[in-house]
Amino acid sequence: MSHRLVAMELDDSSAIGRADSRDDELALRHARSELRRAAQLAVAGELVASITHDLRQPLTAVEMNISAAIHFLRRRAPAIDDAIEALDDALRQQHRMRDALQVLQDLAVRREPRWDDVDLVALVHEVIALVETDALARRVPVVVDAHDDVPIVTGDATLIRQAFLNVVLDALEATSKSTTPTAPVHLTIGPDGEAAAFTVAHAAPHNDSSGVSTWSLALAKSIAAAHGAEIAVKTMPKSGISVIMRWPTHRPMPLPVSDDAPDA
Amino acid sequence: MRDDAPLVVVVDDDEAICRSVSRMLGAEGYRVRAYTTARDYLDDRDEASPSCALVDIRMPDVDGLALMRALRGSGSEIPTVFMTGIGHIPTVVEAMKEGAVDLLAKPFTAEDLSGAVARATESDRRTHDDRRALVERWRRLERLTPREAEVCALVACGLLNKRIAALIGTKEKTVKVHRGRVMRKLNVSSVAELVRFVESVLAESNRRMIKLDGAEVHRPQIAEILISVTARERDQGAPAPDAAPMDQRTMPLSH
Repeated sequence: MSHRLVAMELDDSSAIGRADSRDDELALRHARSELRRAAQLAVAGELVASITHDLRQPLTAVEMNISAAIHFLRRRAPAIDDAIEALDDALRQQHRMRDALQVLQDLAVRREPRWDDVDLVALVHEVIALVETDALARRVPVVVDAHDDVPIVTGDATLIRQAFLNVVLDALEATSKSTTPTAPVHLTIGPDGEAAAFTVAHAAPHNDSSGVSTWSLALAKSIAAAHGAEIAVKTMPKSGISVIMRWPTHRPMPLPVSDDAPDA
Repeated sequence: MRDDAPLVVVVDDDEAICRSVSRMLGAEGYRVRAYTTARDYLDDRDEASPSCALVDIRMPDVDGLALMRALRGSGSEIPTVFMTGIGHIPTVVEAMKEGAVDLLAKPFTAEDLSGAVARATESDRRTHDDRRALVERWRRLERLTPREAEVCALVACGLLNKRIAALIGTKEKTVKVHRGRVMRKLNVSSVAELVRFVESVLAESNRRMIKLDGAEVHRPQIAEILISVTARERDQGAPAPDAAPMDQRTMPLSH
């Protein structure tokens, strides 16, 4: 803002004015860069917080199960079956931790997104094929409404598929925990101005007004942020929850290499 | 597991936590009931209160703090240990203000859990013993007649028989008889013991009902006389025997 004021005051001096225009541009680029970085940090912070929470829970359960197993085995007449049951549960929780850590590892070694033309309708059908078994097991029908005029977007198909998959799996889980556990999950893919919108509408779990709030949604948000896409979660008292993802057709502007980089 | 082992309630929306904490406490000899929502617990509360509740602070719908408020609102004094995975300081402060006896930050160890539950159940045992003792005092008090209750209160206030006789409009000899019956009915052997008895009833004068072993025990009507006469005497200090007309200083009692 201060740069703009200086430029206006010195409008009668063309030489200084040009110099200040360049300062303005640099300041604007710097501000944009800071905003984008702050948004990325916010997403990363949310992701780390949810993964940390998802690690604390199984870690506590592992500690309790192993301690209980030791108790059972140290009895004068060891309760072998109880100990085995506790250790089995500890192992299941260890797998839960491994899955959460895998997400972190995937993020740590994540390659740069590949920028290709992506047909989101095709991706949605791939996701439906992937979740089919889970949906059948949960007895939750999946209804798809794919419009014909969905624009091709630019992005990394593998990452976008992962984001879709996370949101749909969350929806299936939330529905199965709702008061209407066999209500269908509605997937809609259609145009939205210059973008393509993918909406997942599902019933809210009976004990959770926000529904999807796990690390998987955070990861989906992280992928969306890398693509310049937006995610909104809307909770409606009667109809449930809608997760709306809006994917732009064009690749987002890349970040400058550094704040001091010369004007490219 | 013994039927009289302390009952611990675990409330956590994570089934794995419910299962594993229950298993650990069960291995230590506690009876355990686990619930994945606060509503399930509120709907399924036993008449016999548990000795301790282990409650996750952050739960969907009704969270741990709301659950504790609901329990307190219904007169429950169950010692509550909160579990938290977030360590959000304002929430922790609020939990302690709400009267949590302990707080376990996830991931906690089996020793942390055992210690917190042992302290909470011990606190519940002490509270339970105190309640039982108060109910016992109420039951002894119930044996007194209104006149005896009045004499009991006046003796506990340090008044001599002669003064009491003047206050209640009877003879000193009659007061001595009342006093002897009071000592016998309350099962006390000295005035000092009588004073301690009355003080312990007065200390809980705000309680009109106590839940004990799942049953509601109400304070006997006779306790009102003890409380009101003691309060009146203490308000008026140590007045002379003829400081007030007799009819204003005695309670309208029937023998």
